[in-house]
Amino acid sequence: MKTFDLIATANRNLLRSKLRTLLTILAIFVGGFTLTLTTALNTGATQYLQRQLGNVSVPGVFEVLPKTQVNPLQSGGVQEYNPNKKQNSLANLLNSTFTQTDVDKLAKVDGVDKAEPFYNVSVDYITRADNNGKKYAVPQLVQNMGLNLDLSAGRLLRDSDTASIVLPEDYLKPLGFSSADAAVGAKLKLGYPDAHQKETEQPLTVIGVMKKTFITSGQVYASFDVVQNSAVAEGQASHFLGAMVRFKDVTDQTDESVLKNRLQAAGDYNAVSIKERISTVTTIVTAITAGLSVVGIIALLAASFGIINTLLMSVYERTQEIGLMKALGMGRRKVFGLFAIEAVLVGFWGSLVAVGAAELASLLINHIASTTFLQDFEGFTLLVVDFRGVLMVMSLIMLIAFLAGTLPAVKASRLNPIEALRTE
Amino acid sequence: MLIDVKNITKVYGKGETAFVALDKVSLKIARGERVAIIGKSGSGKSTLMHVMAALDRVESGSIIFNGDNYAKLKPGKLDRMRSSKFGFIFQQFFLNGRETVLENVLLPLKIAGVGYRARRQRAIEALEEVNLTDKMNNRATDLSGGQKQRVAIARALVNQPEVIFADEPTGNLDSENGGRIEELLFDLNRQKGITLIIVTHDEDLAAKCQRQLEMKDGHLKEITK
Repeated sequence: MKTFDLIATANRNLLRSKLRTLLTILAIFVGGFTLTLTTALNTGATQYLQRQLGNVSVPGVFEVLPKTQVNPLQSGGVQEYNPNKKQNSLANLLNSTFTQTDVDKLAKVDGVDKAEPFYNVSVDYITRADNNGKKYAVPQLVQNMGLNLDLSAGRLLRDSDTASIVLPEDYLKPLGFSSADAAVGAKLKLGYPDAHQKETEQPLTVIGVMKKTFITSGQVYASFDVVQNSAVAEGQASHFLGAMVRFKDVTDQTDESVLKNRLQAAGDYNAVSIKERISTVTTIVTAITAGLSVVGIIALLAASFGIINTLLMSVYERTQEIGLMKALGMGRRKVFGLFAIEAVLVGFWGSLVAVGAAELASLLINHIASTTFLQDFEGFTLLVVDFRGVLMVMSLIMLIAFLAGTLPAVKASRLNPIEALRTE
Repeated sequence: MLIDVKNITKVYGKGETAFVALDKVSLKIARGERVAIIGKSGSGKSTLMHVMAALDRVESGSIIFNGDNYAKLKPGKLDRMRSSKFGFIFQQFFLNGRETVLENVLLPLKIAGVGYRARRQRAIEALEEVNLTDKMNNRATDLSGGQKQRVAIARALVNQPEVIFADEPTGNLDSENGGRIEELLFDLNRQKGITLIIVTHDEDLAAKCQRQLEMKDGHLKEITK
């Protein structure tokens, strides 16, 4: 029998007991639908993260902190208390033993382009002179570390910039700017408390306006001198949280673990790269979607028993017919093929319907999401049903269907034609 | 010799429950012969037909068709042989009721891998032989018993076989329809030279064959007229 005839015959056999086929397809559909949506969620989230973080991320930039007893970034579990080891928290920042000596030491590490104190500064507000003097809170002031921030106007900060700031988009309206372009070059004032809790103001120029991303939310990027001034005013003149270290000549392909080891070998330090930080976010998303996919796969496994059942019933029902075909010279392999194709076809139709329905559902869900809980995440398409995902889900389902079909197919192929014809 | 059966033994089951269906049976069938195999049920006559048609294997002895020894052929080769050289007719017709008459007739050609147009054409020709072209688009289930067996004959003919094996071809038919089926089979034998091997209870039918072989308790006896 020719392959085409085999497929056509298999398809026609499926149509014989429409209700039974439909129910089997429905079982496949449930699993396929779930799996397509979780794949779409993974694709959507990954795409968004790539766009948001992939761009932001810069290779070869490290935060170097003194190795401390309790540090969430370090692994190794709970350790015994050691009074000689440093505690790393904002509360005892003023007791930090990380000094300029450490920064200088890190600057001399092989390949380091630049090392500067890493400040953790909370300022009070920014304000604009010609806006009724209204003040707006700034949660966190961050020094420029060379991140490729997603800008809507202006440019990124450079090392040579002074008294400059990259303003997040959400400050535009409160500060009375009509557009992002209008804000570039504008003069602002940054208010922060000095060591004696007295309010100090520093003039700033807006260099760029950045789009909202969730990794940078609540952060306002400023040139190093601005951050340093406020940090010094806060009392971080000689003791810092740590250091910000940048290597030269690094690309995305550079093995950061080598650089990391070099930094950690320079002293009792713990170095974490920006890339590393970001990759933990991606890992979490992957873990969540993988967990959801397991649900889909379990549904598919349940459905595969449906396929086995359907085809076994079909083999019993068609015993005579199979016997006749074998008597007429149809080989074992072709008989096996006929039933295997039937199984794969069930998988094909089930997955096709599932993928189609998932596509429709994702359009609806995306629409709802973008107007509700994802409103603040510009450019985040929650569910992305792409060709690769569809192909993957469909081939997986067809593979599972094929595997489920092998048992009935082997049974059919082993039927003895004489006995099969004798059955009533 | 077209079919040369030498000293074959076929045993069903094992040990104490073993049943010898064929006990050192030998026979020769020449091309174009009409052979009837008669005997009571359980005598082994169907088994003899099955082993000659390569539907079943024997424990010992040899069956040679046109110089090919079945025992030495691979299953695939045997499948192709049945597909190209043999036609089968059964007492219960074994038509697929949901399919059209034409689809039923062209099934052997489909299995043999003949293309769509050619197999359709040849199936129509086979239906002409049995005078059923007007029913070719009807469902097989809508036909009468006699018509069904004519469809089965067309199906047995469609691959232009050398031998037609017929297992009680008139067993499910009244005498009028049975008679027409007999005539049809004998015509094919006479006009096309197709060798006929008929297993039957029916003594009248057997009497119309050139040779009658009687199976009894696994032994074969030629009845000379």
